[in-house]
Amino acid sequence: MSSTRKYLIGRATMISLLAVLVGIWGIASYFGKGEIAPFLAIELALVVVGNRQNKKYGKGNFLKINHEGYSEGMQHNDEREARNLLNATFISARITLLFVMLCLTFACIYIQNFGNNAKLIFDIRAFAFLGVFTIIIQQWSLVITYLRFDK
Amino acid sequence: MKNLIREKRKEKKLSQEELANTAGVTRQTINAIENDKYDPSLKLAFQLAAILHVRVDELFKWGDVRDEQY
Repeated sequence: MSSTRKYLIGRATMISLLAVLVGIWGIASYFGKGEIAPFLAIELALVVVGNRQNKKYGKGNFLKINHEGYSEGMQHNDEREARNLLNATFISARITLLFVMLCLTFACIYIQNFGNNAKLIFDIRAFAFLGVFTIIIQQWSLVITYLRFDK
Repeated sequence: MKNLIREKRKEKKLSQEELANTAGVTRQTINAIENDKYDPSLKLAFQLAAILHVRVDELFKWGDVRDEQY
């Protein structure tokens, strides 16, 4: 049987790396040094490695439901792990939602206090970084919650 | 829900690993069931009962009845 813990940690690391790379690309672009080719090459390589890892663990289409009633993309060895994973997914979704809501609240407070500046409201870099942090928080809250349930 | 899996498993001289492999689950799941940290599905409960050659209602009891029943 494959290790679900190992798989989840590996996947979270991979997705976090991808997200951080996008973030670095964003910063580099801001300073006018954002060459698209090396970043795309690294991202593509990470996606290929990730897909190979998924195949190794026998993962299928995440939209399809298997005979046990779970998504084919959900890595688990038995019903206890599947249940833990579902609970962890629910909790991590709530943590992520809380993070996004807090960010939006702070943004609103900031805009209200420092003037209604359209440049601030539509700053695409801020949205990009919010996305990067949201991905990282979602992934690692899932891993931490799952490891806690699986103790 | 209480269960007698540990006792029945030891009667059959099976390790947690062997029972887990026969039932197609992880050793951690058997450990969690034995320590009342996880209630298995009906399917797994029937599987475990079949492996241990007992009835499901002999293996699992509702509530804290281990001492008075056995």
